Amino acid sequence: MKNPVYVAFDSQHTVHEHYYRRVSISELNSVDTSSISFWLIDETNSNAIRDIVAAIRRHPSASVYLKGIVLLTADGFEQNESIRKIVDTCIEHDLFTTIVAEKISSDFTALNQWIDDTPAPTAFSDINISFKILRFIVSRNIELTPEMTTSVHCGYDYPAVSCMLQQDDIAILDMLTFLSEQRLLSPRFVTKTHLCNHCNSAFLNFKEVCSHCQSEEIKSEELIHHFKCAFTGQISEFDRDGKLICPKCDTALHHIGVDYDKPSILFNCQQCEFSFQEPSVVSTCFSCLRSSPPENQISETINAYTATSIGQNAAIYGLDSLYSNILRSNLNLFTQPAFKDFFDVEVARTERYKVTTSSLVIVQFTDLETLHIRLGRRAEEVFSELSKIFKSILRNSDVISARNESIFYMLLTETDTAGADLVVQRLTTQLTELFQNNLDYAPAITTVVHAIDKTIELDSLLENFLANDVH
Amino acid sequence: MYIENLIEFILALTFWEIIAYFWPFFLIDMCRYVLLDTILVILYIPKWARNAPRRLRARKSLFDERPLVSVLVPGKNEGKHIPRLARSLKNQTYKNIEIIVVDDGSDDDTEKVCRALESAGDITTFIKNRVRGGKASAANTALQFSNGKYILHIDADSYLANDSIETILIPFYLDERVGAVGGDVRVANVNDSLTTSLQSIEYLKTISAGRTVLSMLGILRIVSGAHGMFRRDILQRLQGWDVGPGLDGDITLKIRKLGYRVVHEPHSVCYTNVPTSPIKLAKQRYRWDRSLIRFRFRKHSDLLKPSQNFSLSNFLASADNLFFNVFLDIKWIVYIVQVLLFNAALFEYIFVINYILYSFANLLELAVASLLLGNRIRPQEKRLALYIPLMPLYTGLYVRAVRTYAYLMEYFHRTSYRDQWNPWKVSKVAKKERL
Repeated sequence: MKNPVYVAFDSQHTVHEHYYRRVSISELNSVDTSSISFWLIDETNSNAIRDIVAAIRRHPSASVYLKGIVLLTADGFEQNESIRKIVDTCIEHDLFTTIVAEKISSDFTALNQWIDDTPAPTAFSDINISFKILRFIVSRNIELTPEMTTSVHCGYDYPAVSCMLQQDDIAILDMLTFLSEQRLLSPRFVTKTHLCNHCNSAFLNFKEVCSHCQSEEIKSEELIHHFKCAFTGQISEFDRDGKLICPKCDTALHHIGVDYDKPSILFNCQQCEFSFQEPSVVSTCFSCLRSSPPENQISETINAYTATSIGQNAAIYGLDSLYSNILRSNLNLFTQPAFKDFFDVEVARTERYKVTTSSLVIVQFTDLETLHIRLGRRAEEVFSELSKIFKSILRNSDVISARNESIFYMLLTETDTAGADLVVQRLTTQLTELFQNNLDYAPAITTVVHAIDKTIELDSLLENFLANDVH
Repeated sequence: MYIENLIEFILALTFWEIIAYFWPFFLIDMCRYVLLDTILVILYIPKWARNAPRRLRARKSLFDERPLVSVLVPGKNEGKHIPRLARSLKNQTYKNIEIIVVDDGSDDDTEKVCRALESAGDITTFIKNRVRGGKASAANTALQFSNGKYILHIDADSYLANDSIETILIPFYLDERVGAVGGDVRVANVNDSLTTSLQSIEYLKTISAGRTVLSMLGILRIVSGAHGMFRRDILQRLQGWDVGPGLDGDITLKIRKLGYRVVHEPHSVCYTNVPTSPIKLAKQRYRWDRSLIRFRFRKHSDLLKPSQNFSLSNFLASADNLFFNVFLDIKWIVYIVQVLLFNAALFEYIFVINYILYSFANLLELAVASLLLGNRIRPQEKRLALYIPLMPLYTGLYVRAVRTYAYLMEYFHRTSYRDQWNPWKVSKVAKKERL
């Protein structure tokens, strides 16, 4: 168990000062997270609480965003349920004694142990929000459950993780679906919702309208069949001073099923007087005010999620496997150690014969997060297309590997840097087209070309590249 | 040898012997069905030709006015037939129609089929009655939601020739006293079985030619439920159909009682599917024939009695039906008894000669119907002449046996009130109220 050291934000109170250090959001990076057991928020303003939680959860370092958050609630102040659900634990300020603090700290032992045991993530892995969500779920071993709420556009929120996102809240649904499709999360059906096909709002007004003139002014009426004379008409035709009298044979109707039946219900349009049984239904979005037939709206399944064993593994060892499966199957993507072997052999070969040159190309996509957020489950299709582009430009003799879905490196045998530049140019052009055709933006593509010689150290080259020192 | 003896027997017959041995044929059936039908159809054809200019003017009036026609299609478990009917309605030369289909508590895919047709615009309105109420209630439901000036009632397992609606409307524009027009009903599944082929001949004789003749005489007593056009104002005045079975004959008589003319239009053709097996046919005829006792003999017996509203044509319309169908049904018993008592030795000759006479009569009636329908006779109907030798057995024995049984059961036991054609709760009320 870690020492019960915790960091509090902006506390006006003076409890346990010997245990906690007061920091502000901007000081997050300066905190030695290895020595603290949880974040303590001593704040009553809901918006301020959200801002603090968001700052923690959006932090790229796992030791920050995965750390438990405890919210101190003030006396008599009733925090709303949604606030309680974005933090790990809530406790009333007066109850927060040293013993309780130690107990909470003890409760976070397993979580902190998990964070400590997890290998240091690669520099870019944790900018992937999907990965952060996965890690969050795995680290707490929880089922991530949706909450019905009017406070978000899509009507369902996953409060525990939604503050990791800055973007449109629909992205959380897409990300979870994406992780589920990658078999990293296992879904459990909870409910379904309809979302506006224009703006993804869940706030839709479903209205029955006349199937003839689309008027909303329709009235339903029961149909009555009088057995004796076979007269059939709407109930209003039978209504005489509150009694049911058959207009055809002037007989009073007494017992349903004995002397009359109600075989169906019909709608009458008050505008065009059309009678019909199946009214049309239109749905109007409260947000964008557009109307569409319900079948055109998006039907979204809302699930609760738990991590699969693959997901648990990926949460610990990284998300490279997410896309590398696609790329590996399409491109004969080599593992990083295999690539290193090829690279070393190629360096030795070119050095020995000194006849030809080979080149190393590194390609990095930045801001792929937006791709995931915007495309969600369709990101997979883009990666599949991406692999096709690589395949069409590279030769069979070239060797390609990927560090993660953002960074690819290629060994272009028997290709000088001019040739490699040409390859990079074609690659960049086609990739940019791919992104622009699928999205209204293109991720930035950074490339570097290096002639292979014995002076090149692959690992250091990559490190330099990642540190943006190379170009 | 047998034939020679037969010919010798025939040649030796005197006039009175012919009458004595074959009176049912020569005095009744030949006069009523062969001669009368032949003469009147022969008169009808030139009259129809002479009326061509009037019909043209009537057609022009129809298309000038272009009234809405509501096609009512009540039915249960008829989903498989509806698309074909909807197609035939879509192909009509007269376009201002609305189609209202009422599903009377089907438990098959009728709703699914009809909703799809409704969405595609091939049906104007589809109404699903979750609780079965019987044919009359389904027809009345459709009537309730119709808007047309004219109402076409059609069976769901039928379909129309392309000019059928146009043609059946013409009589309304020829004579404003016309309240209902019966369209011709022909067999759609002529070649499905021997049973359907024999029914095809029967329909041509009794509906195409027979009802044309009754119409000319002004005593048409039924506008078939399979294909009948009505004036909406009259149906509204009558407040729709009464409980069946036999609701088509019932409403026809009610329209006649209101003083309107009821006519048959043989050139407006509807094709309907008829029972394919003798058992199914027997069930259908058992239902139809009982309605003659229930409605004409009981419910509309006032037509036969002198009263202030007595009408000779209405009297004849009902009397013709009751006399030739019910009363003369016993002539065969009398005839057979007579032959066995007084001419037992000649029974074989008399039977064979009767068979030949009735075969020729059927052939002549078929020829008359063909003459009446002209180019509207289909190739498969022309080939029906081959089945003529079987018709005496079909009408003389099979149909007659079912009919006699139906009359007796209805007269003595009112079995129509137990028919599953209506829901039991409706039949129970109908029986209690003696409807």
